Amino acid sequence: MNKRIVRLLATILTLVMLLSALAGCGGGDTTTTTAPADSSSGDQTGETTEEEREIITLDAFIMQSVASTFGISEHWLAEIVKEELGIQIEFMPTGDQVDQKLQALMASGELPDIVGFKENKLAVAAIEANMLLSLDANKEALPNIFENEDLKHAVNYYRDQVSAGKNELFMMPSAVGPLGATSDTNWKPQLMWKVYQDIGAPEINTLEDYLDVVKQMQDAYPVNEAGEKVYGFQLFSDWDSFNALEVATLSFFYGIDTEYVSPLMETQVTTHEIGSILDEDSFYKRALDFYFQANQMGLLDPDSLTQKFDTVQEKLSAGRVLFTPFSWLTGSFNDRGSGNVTADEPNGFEMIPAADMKIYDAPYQSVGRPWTFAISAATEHPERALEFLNWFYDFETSMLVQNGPEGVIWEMQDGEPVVTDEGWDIIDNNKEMPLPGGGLLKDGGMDYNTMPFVAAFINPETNVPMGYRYWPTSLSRNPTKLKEAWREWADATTTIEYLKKNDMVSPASQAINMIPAAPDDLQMVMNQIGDVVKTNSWKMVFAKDEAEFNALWEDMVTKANGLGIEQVNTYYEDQWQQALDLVSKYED
Amino acid sequence: MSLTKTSKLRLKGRTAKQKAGFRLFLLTLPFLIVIFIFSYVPLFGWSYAFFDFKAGFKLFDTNFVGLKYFKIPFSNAILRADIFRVVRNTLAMSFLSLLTSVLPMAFAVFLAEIHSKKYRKTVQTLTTIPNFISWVLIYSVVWSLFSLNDGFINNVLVQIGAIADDSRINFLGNTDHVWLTMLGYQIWKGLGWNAIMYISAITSIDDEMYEAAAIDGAGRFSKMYYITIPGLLPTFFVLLMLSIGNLLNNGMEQYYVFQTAMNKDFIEVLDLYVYNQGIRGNNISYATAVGMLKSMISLILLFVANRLSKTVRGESIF
Amino acid sequence: MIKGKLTGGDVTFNILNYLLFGIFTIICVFPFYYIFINTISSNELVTKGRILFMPVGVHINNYIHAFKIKGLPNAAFVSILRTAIGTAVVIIASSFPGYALSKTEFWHRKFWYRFVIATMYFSAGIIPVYITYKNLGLINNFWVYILPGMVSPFNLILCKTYIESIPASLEESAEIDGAGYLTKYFKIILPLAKPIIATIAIFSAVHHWNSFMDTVLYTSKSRLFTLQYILYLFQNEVNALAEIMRSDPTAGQNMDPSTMLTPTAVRFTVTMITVLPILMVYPFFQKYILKGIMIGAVKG
Repeated sequence: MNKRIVRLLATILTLVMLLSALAGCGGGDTTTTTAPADSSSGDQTGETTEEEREIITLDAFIMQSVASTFGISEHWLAEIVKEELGIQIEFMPTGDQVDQKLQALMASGELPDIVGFKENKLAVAAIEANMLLSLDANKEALPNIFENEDLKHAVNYYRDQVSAGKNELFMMPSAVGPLGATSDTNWKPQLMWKVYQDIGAPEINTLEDYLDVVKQMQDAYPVNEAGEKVYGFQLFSDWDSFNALEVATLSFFYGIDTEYVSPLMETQVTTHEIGSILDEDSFYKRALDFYFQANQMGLLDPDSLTQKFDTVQEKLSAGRVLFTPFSWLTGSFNDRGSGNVTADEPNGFEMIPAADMKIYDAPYQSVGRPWTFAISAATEHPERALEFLNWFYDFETSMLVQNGPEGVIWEMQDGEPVVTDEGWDIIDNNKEMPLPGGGLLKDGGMDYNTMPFVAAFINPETNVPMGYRYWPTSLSRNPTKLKEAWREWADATTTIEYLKKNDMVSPASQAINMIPAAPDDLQMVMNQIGDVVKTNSWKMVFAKDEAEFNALWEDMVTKANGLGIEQVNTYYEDQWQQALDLVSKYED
Repeated sequence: MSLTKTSKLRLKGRTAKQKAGFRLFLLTLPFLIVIFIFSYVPLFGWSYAFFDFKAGFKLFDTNFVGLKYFKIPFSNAILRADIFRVVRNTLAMSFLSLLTSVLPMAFAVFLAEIHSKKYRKTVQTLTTIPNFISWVLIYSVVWSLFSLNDGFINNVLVQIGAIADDSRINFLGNTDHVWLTMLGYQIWKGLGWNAIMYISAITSIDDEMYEAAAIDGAGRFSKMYYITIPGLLPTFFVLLMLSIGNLLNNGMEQYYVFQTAMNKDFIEVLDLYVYNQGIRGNNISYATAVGMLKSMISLILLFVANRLSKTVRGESIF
Repeated sequence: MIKGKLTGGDVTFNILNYLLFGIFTIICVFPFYYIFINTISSNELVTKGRILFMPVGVHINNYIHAFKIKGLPNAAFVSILRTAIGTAVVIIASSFPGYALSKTEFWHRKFWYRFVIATMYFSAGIIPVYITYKNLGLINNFWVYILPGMVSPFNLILCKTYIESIPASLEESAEIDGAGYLTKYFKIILPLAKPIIATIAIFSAVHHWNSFMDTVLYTSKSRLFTLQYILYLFQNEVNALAEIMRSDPTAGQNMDPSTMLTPTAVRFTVTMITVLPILMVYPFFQKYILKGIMIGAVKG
């Protein structure tokens, strides 16, 4: 009996020890955050800086980052930050669970020192919960933000419109500057160049003309060199959110937005008309009909229904597609390595627009994009965090992050920066940066995934674009045979130049980015409608005949009405008007 | 608390067996506490379902909305039709898996009939592999076998002249037999893995019983029928009971990767519906309400099944 | 092995049995083989979707790339530690309560058994769990991997069911000697329950080895990252790059598609890295769960 009691006690003791070990570990953890500071204080005495600065570590949760980096960054940029600011940044990992993680952090009452939000809705929630440090209250520490003319609109917009009614600035957006207008557009109708030329480069006057042209192309080029079947059009469904994405996306060829304002709305970016994608005369219906016809004509890959994005990439790479609507959706077919674009008779995907197109061109973003940076109200080092933010919003920093310091990949020649041959070698071959810390050139920017100023933004202090890719010498560097052929055909160097010359651009208003996120209840309705729209859209594309096509459309409209699409339309019509009224306040 | 109870029990003069039972309870208590802390304590979060919960706020600073989020799924004729369809699919899939839940047991029973120990080990190890491959990857393998233009099967069929090149079969876009196809994938993925429990349960059967049966001249199948299977039944019934509790939870990953607009009417099970409707996203209150509903239904199902088992088999499982 | 005369029916049965298991095994192995050859074949052919049965242009760059991921050694160590400790804890924490609850004299046994089982069917949601863990000091703490799942109801039920099937006579013989519950548990039950212990060890080891959601949600310190989690981040990055290209043209211009690993190739490689260790450890457990004698072979 005694023995048993002893055992019982032992068990209880074990439990107590277990629990205390648990608590001990939890307590022990708080000391680890300061540990790096202790260890680096040794280095700091070695340095002969005037200020006695200890190197501190700031925790950062950058939601929009996609890098798989985590922990304390150690690449060349991190070394520079450490040297200049005495700050090490410990990045919390990101991934597809960032929303939940942020909510968990907020629910538990504290955010890490530096937070990068990927949408305003989340940021506003943090402001409402008083979890962010007011930047207005720390104006004197942030001259690069408050005294920069180019950030004026961004500051005002975020203070007025994205502060949960507090009229205070809590965060700064990124990607200020021109998005597309300098060289390329995101959406453009591209055909497989060589095949198009082979059939005699027929004229294309409107969207539906592609069907005939692509039909001729497919007849002329039924299989690729490996003997695999070629189709004019390929679709994939795994990126659909509220509509059939690849179908809706054709609207951008005519300057109609079906993504930014709302995927359930069609917004003409130049005339500012707005309507539902389910209106009887909507472009979306025309686009559905386009792919329906393509399928009827045997131009649409029947695997489109079941294949995923990866497979479409594979097919593009293998040259089994004739038409692609996104400038970047070309697989590896357009890469130099594939040999297609450098052959004497070059091949690859190039833009062949229809005569009546007016392609969507992204706006100049004076208020940036809603990937914002903020400082936690709970930070233990507010001064240092502010110092970091101020540094981050310096023109110099955007230059530094994108191009590295002078003398590594670039140097000044005749007053303008030029990428050196060694520089191109480092960039093209993904070599390590010859700097303390090493790492690739892009590693620096990957941690944040966005910079205050976009690469095409022209630094008013030097009059050159921020990123090396936009420097004149880089743009004209080493064109492929395909580019040369296209340039001759187009009589222009870049997509944008061609489109502008032929009056084929729809410059978008920044208002498309000023639509606040729908309230939760409406969001729910939109999810329900989106589910119906996605399903029926795909069924329509693969409908057996015209009658089935129309019946499915009717069914979709009826269901959407039943679910309350009227509220969605009203909401976005109102918000769009408000955004249009607002936008002039935040543009020059 | 427990101490006072102990003394009370003693006062009542319980038997030695009861005292021992209480001692056993005390020995087990630490584990029960762990369960309480990690499974029951967080249930305070169910209260979020009744508020417009916002992270970072005190719950009572947010709006009390009562049963709003419990009503939304049924708030509209179209949604009700959806729910009906989705529950039908869910139950169909679940009942099909219940029907096939004898397969892992059969797998174990027949595997035991393999003479070569090496062969048995190899089969047993290799058949668990599919369990470790995510559905996303399974889809890409399935794609390479069954797709219309590039699928291995279609290519072979065309080459041997079984079908014409322009009448290739769209296996993956097919809308017939969706439930059975999905069941097939499930069985393939889980059979080897689920059999492990039965394979190890066979070891608990007394060898002497087989020997005695053999002496009595029992054949292979009568040994299976009279010894092996009865030996596995307790495990089988417990697992069956647990899966009845899971009637509504058949997960979404598999159905998600295989869903297309065409087969959606049949493939959309409850968990996938919840995902497709964006409920799992940011709306914590709604997500909590849906989770609560599902939990309660599961528990009710479990205990109903248990009661049934008591009536039919004369013994309850729990 | 005792071998008697085999009847014709037996022979047919055996051939069929061997054959069916063989075919099923091949069907189970094929995807794995397919994934494997795709990880070692020329990436160019893989991106064109051309590898099906035979590897072409064999190389191991995908693996080299994966093994260069920052923090891999530490993560592997954490994973192994977690799997070892986690499994040991689960074995005790499932088998002892399983044993205890198999005893009819357990104080309010029915209630407590239901108390355990019910937890399989509900979960509170991410936020309340996070807050609970935070209050317990488990955030950024290694024990967050071990403690919350240590009493697994499913494993407990398996143990209880198995222990109930052990002939009572074996345990009673010890009772006469006046042994307590703990003695009986350690001296008699544990050795007898080896097969089920091995089974739950497999289940729990695989679970621990493959988990990453707890790392996603409850840790942010790299010293606690597990192998699965790092591989998850690695996959995520590749997936996210593709997504970003869709939503942001400027981001697309900063990326070079030719150097981008395809998501499929990465997922394939990661699967191989995850599954291979499991298959290698497997045989150690197997000797406990496979019955030594062949039932059908025992013939008089």
